[in-house]
Amino acid sequence: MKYLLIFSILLLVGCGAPKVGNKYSNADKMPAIFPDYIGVTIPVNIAPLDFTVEEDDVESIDVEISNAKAEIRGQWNGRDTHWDVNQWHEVINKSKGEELDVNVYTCDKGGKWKAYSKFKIYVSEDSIDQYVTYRRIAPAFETFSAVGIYQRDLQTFEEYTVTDCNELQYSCMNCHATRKGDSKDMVLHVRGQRGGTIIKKKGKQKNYDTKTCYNINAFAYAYWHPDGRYIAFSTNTTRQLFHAGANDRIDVFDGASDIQVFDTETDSILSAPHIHTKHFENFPAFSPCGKWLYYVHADSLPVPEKQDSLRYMLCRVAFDAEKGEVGRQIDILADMRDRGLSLSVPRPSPDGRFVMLSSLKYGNFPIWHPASDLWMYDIQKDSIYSLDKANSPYAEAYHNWSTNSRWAVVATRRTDGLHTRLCIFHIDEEGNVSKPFLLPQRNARKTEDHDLRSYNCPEFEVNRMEFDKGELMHFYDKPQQRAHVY
Amino acid sequence: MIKELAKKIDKTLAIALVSWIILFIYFYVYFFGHLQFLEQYQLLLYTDDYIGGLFSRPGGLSDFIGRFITQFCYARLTGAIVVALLFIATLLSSAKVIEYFTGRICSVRALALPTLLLIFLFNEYAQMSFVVAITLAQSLFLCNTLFKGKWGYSIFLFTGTIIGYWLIGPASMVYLLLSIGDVIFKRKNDRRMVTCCIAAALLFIVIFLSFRLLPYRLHTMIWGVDYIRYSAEIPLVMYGCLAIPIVILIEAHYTERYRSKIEALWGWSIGFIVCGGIVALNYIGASQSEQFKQMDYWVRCGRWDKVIKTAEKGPKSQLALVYTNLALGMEGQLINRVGQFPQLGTRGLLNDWKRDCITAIPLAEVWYRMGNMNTGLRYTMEAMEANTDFEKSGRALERMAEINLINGDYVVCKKYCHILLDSWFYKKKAEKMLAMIEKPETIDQHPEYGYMRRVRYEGDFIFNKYKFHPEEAIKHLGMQNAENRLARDYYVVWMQMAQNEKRVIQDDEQVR
Repeated sequence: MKYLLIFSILLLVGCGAPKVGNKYSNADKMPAIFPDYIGVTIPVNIAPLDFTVEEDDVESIDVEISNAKAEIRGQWNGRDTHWDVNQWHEVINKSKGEELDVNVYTCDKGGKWKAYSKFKIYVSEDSIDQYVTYRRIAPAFETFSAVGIYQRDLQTFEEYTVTDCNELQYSCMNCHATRKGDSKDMVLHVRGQRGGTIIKKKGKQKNYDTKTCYNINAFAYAYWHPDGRYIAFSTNTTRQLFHAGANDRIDVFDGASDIQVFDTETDSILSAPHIHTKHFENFPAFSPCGKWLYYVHADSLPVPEKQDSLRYMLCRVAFDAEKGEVGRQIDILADMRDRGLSLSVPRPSPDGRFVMLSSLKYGNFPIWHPASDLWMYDIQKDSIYSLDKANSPYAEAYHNWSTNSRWAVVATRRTDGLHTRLCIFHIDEEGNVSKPFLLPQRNARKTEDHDLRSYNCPEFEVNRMEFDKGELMHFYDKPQQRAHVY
Repeated sequence: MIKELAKKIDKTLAIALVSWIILFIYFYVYFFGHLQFLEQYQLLLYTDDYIGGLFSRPGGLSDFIGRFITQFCYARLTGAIVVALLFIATLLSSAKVIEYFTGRICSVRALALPTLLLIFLFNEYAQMSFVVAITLAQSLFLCNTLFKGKWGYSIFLFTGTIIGYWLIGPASMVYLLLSIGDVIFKRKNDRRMVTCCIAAALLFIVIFLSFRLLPYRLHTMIWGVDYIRYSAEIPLVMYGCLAIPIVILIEAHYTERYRSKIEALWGWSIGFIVCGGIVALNYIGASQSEQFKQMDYWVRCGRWDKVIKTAEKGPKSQLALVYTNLALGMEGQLINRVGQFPQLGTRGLLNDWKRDCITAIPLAEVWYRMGNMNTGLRYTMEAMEANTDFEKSGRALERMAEINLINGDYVVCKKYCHILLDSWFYKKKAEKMLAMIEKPETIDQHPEYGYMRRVRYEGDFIFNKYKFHPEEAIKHLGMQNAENRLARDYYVVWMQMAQNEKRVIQDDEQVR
């Protein structure tokens, strides 16, 4: 028994990953790592940036992250780092506003160590909201299987299921939106036979059937007014086209689309005929002061025949929350049709300075356009520019701001061209962006390879998004008891 | 004593062996298409995430064993061997439960449960995990009978009920009901009845807590997460499978003493005939879909001659006809022999897609073989995504990897291959594809992929489901490359059939 114990202890000790000693050769290059965290700017409260070393012949790794104030070091068998969450936070807290040097060493099968050129990570003083909520769904064509809304704690690796296909069976969930990142005021749409809209105000849930004779369809893309009384929605008749060629797959377009402002106190839609026209209006978003309603507009064309000529502009209209009135003067803020670009998904920064947008060749659905990129409209300077540092050769689609306006999250296809992943990047007060970094995951490469679902519609939150199970089941099981909108 | 035991074992083994042979023949000769059909809608991965995911919900163990067994149905022989073994385990556990209650060794009543479970498998949404769960529930009860002491019995019953629910799912109710039957008919002990009632209360609490804490509906917690792929509709036979162990023990308790002592051999012979007859009737009833599933197996193996051979008995459904025409086209016989089979017009060349996983597969296969890669990819993905239990499909993922390989989208192909590497039966092909990516010239040299690369549609055009003209797509494919005989033959036959359809409509109008 005694020997067995000693043997077990020896075995455990023997299983530990070896440390790099003084003997190692220099690779004279940066290490190939996934995700690419080289030179990124990170929030002071982000989860550990675990990565996979993708060099040839790696048996174990030794990684050191340090600066003059703090240091963390780890050795692991295999290619993946697995940082302790608490130690990591200690190090980045001490390094607020400073750079960290990352030294990576790899050991091959023969026990020979190699050192790579160090790279830097900049720790911003700006913190990020604790949670990001997203939908996960396969990048499929018409049908979908495992779909759900999930919330990720950005300070750890914890992911919570808000609701998914196991609860709301055979229904599609989409377009969740909170008011200023507070999940107590939120909206969620469910599609399918038992589809409807859930609106939570101050944590109290109310279920709606939003299809009326006045609407072309049920409510879709939503944006809360900052005061919490109104929600702007688009209503769309969304259609799909399929490509026969190898390079493209799908086009999504609207047969018709309008914008409506919903009053949650009276369950009624405000009358606003000039954003409810024969033309296409889409993706409404209130300004942080609540006095403007941004949206995109395209002149009416026959679709699908001319859908590849349909290009949207960024517009805004005044909104008076006290009177519940939508203004009549429509301002065109950005029009890039002469450059052959269409603008979509306007998202104003919470500080009121910028509007971030997607640009694409035509239409308003950027995810299936590999060339779609992020652009920024500077309200103060009345100018628009491409966020080149944040863009990739693949689609950048749905984006959102953190509540302090210093971070943005974007759903991007940059990892493999098909599955969207979440990237976060820093934006300074002048609108300059840093290199985006992929949402940290444990066992980064394995997680990436095994995840066949796309992350989309990301949104930052400051608190947990939760549903009462009983109320959620009531919504699903009793569609006839939903409130109607007028 | 030893002699008696040996006699018992001999008898049990003999019955088990005979039953296994009968089941093996049945599965191998008739049911192989259906078994493969079950297999293609799952992808068992040997990763901690996947297996951990199974065990993080009620019924995890039975799900895992069910999927483990189902994966062998990828091949006809291994599927028949392993599934027959599972049913023997069900038969033996049933026999042992009946023996415990009646003292009758190898009672012919033991055939009832496996027969019902076989009928359950005819359901297109049935999962092997239900068969496993019922078998494990009976085995759990048999373990419980070993405990004679008060404490041992109670502790096993409580833990068995709670842990049993977590491991085998709601089938643990069978275990609990058998335990209640045990107390009523065998042990006749009031205190133990109280124990059983507490265990039942515990089970309901666990079910309710699982519903509150896990992202599942109460319905799913009661009917199992993975017993059936479409849990919104519970087939009647499932109720029967859950009830039959109890019904039999009640029946045995009251009728055993009045039964004349029929010789075991006669009893079993009659039992086999009756049960076999019931299964055969079900098979005949489901012969349309079973024929399609057999063809689907041969299509998957690329055995077009076997598809035609199966079709020569007469294609019994639209989907079977689509496969028949595809096989004729693949063998270069479409134009000459299309008239030998009853046709359904152009719907016999390309079936309708009903937004489900079954009708998407033939469409995916036909478009892929004709070289329309994106449409092939689309329907393959639809087949996987329309899967009602939200699981991935090994067959679909493999085909998606192949299409991405042919299209030269190696990053996505690698991604799919890396997933397939964690399975048993898809691993080999994934390794081959990964090796090909390293040497892309080998893709062009490959007999199937190289050909597909040559004939695939290279331009682009957009179509939608509202204005889709398949004949245009087929024409483009046939005209683009003279090597694409399948597309050209399809186009010729399509035009003939479309003309006939037009003529039929005109005649019909004239008659009116």
